[in-house]
Formats: sequence, C-alpha cells, structure tokens
Amino acid sequence: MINQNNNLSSSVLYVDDEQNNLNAFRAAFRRDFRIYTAINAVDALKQLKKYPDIKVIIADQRMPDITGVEFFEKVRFIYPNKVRIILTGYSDISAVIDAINKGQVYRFIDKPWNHEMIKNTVNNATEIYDTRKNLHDKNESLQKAYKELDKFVYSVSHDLRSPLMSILGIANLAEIDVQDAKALEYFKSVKGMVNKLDGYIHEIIDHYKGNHSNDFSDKIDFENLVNDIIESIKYHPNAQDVRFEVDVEQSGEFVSNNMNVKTILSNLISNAFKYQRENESDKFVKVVVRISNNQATVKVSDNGVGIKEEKINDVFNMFYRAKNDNSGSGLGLFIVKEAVEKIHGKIDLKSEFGKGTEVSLIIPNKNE
Amino acid sequence: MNNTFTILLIDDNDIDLMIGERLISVVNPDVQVNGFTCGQRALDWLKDLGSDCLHQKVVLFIDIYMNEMNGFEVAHRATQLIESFGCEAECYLLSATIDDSDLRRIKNDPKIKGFIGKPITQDVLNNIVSTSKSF
Repeated sequence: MINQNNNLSSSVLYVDDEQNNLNAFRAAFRRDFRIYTAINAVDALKQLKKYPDIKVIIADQRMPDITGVEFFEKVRFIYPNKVRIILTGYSDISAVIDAINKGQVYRFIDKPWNHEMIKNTVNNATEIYDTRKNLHDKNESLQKAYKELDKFVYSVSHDLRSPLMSILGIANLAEIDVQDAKALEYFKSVKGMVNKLDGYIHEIIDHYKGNHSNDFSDKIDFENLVNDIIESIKYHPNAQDVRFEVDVEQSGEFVSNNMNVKTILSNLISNAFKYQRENESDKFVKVVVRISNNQATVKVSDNGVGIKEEKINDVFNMFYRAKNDNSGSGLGLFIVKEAVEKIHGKIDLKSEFGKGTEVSLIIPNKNE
Repeated sequence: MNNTFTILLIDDNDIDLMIGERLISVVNPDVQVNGFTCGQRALDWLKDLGSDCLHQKVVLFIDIYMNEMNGFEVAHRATQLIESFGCEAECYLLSATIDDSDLRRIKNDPKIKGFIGKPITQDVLNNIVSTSKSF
C-alpha cells in the first residue's frame, strides 16, 4: 500500500476489515493525505512499523478479530504520540465514548463518513500531532542541553578549583615550613585572595544550581540546615569570637526547594558574621526560624557594621559592595534576591549604621 | 601489637602529591608515605610488595579525577588486592570537586571511607591518623 504524494503534510493509516471501504477511502482522500491502509490489526501494526511518518490512525470500531478501541489500546502503548480516530455507527457509541474519556481515542466519526468531516478531523489531528511532536522534541533537546551544561559547569568548576586548591595547599605548607615573618605575611595574603576567588566560584555555581532547579518537593529541616551552615563557617578565622545563637521551632513538615533555601540562608548567615565591628566585645549572629502550616519566617540578625540608610536600596543589586575592602564579590545578596523570587518568598532588610542588621525572610510552605 | 600502617597517596598532580606527602610526614613522622602519580603504578607496587611487607592496615588517599583510572576504580581495585593479602584497606577520595553527585557517589560506596576536599590539611589528617592508630 504505497503512498501517492510525498508533498502532503499529513499521513493517515486507515484500518478496516472491508477491502471496499479501504479502496473508497483511498480514492476519496488521495489528494488530501498520504494514505496507508490495513485490512486487520496485524497488518496495521506492520504498516506502522514500516512507515514511521504516519501521524494519524483511523480504525473501524467493528472488526472481526478485534474492535477499533481494543486495537488502539495496543497502539497507544507502542506509539503513544500518534493521534487515534474511531469510525463507528451509533450502536457502538457507548464503548467509543468511554474510550475517548479514557484518552485512548482523540475523536470519533460516524458512519457513513462524509468527506469534509474526515478532512477536517484529520487536519486537526495532524496539527495536534505536529504540535505535540514539536514540544516533545524541544523538551528533549532542552533536557539534553541542561545535562551538558551541568557537566560543563561542574567540570569547569573542578578545573578552576584544582589549581587554586594547590596554591592554598602550598600556602598551608609554608606556614609549617617557612620561618621568615615577611614571607609568612605574604603567604597569608595569597591565601586570602585564593579564598576570595574560591568563594566567587562557589557563588556562581550556587546561582547556577538555583536557576536550574524548579522542584518544590524537598522536605526541609531548618535546624539541620542552619547548623550545617554555621558549622561550615565556624572555623573561618574571623568567626572565632562570634557568638552564634540558633532558635528554630519546627514541628510540622516544611516543603520548598532545598537548593534555593540553602543558598539564601548561607549567604545571609555568612554576611552577618562577615560584617562584624572589630571593637565590639560581644559579637553575635542570631538566627530565628518559626514554621507554620503555610510559611516559614526566618530572621537573621547581627550587631555588626550595619548599612547606611541611603545605601539600603542598593544592596540587592548585582556587584554592589557595601564595604570596599575586597572581601566580597558583590554577588551574594543579588543571588539571595533571585533565590527568594524562585521560591516565591519575601525578603526585607532593616539596618542601622554602626549598630547592626536584621534580615527578615518569609518562605511559603509548599506542603500541599 | 602493631599500631602503625602503610600509607599510599595517589594523585596525578605533582604539586598536590608533594603537599600530601609533606603534610602526612608532619602529622605522622614515623610512617613512610608512598606517593604515586597514577593508579596503575600504585597497584603494581602493591602487587610486587605482597602481603608480607604490608602493615595490617593500609590507608589510601586517592584523587578522584585522574587521567587513566579514576579514583573510584583505583580504590576498588586496590581494596580487592589488599584484602586478598588478608590486610585491611581504608580509602579516602580527594578532590577539588563541588559536584554533589560526586559526594553522593562516595557516600553510597561502601568501599570508600570518606571524602577529603582539597587542599588536604593537617587537621583532617590528624583526625584520620588518630582514628587509624587506635585500631
């Protein structure tokens, strides 16, 4: 059963147990569609395998070995994307309606068919097929691109960090093996700069990860999360005389995107301890978390340097640095703002210059 | 009772290898560090040495990303070899990676004792050496 016209955009497989019907169909539509025909289900499956360009399948409901709906149940399993249409007389209508409701069949056409009706239905079906296929292809290539990007980002971050960590390792060794005070001071500066660059790499990766995870199904344990973050900065040389106060009350489940919540909290907490006032005798960073059924309220406060009133509106901008001391990349709060938007949260910053800063955060609970 | 052990350090980066060797010798001056720039050479060395010359416990520090054989493969093969001598292997993987999937893989691998983020430091080594010694 060979097609006649390769320029037609739609190709239809018509399955019917009566050869006369097949012939009539072919004669009627050969100018409209590329047509394939099959006399029974087995033959139809052969045609489908042989001609992958078939987009639409029309089957007669009443066939001796198998009904059209039963045939489609099988076809749907193997070729889920092909659009399926049933040809039927009124006596079979309830079975067909059931099939449509179950999603097995796109539409039904009454017998005897009329030319315009079939033409329109097949054209619509083709459009649906093409749209779905397009979407599917786009999705697939997008997934592939994401995967490649992931690989690329991680391999770049590793390749950038490797030599940096070697430099850091040598500087550490120098602290053991070098006695010269001047040299030790230089090595200390080298370490400082390397750590800064490394922090920048981490921020970029976090930003990337936050942007690429749209999943809202992570159960978040704030107590653990906050403690992990504090654990990771506690050993920082500047954190030695800072008192960390953690007050988390979480009884119920809290669901959101873990990556973004982690990015926000670790930036806020590390900022709070980074911008301390040197002459303050009781430096503290306080983290308070309250969880309710519909949201988490987080407060991160400190008695550090604070922010001048006229600068408060700028702190969430990319590359803005409140302190010009080389200690930050200027990305931190920009990343926080982006991450807050991703999880549909709200962030508010209050600060008094020379007294301290308090950041309040509200994150909706996506537990339903 | 034998309270010392054999240490292998495998890293295809010369500088990291040097850093590791020096740090281990600072932390544990009485143990010799056997450094290798590729996994195969380390495996051959173990094979040639045989069971008689190994201590009961063998501690391995292995870089993850190496050209010919990656850290996981080296760890698995070395563990198999060491266990076939009737000795005990303890593998730590080293890397500058920040890829969560690497860390997950290490966590789920029963043959890997732990992950050490580069650069390897005295504190980390002290911890490992003190737990290994108490064995």
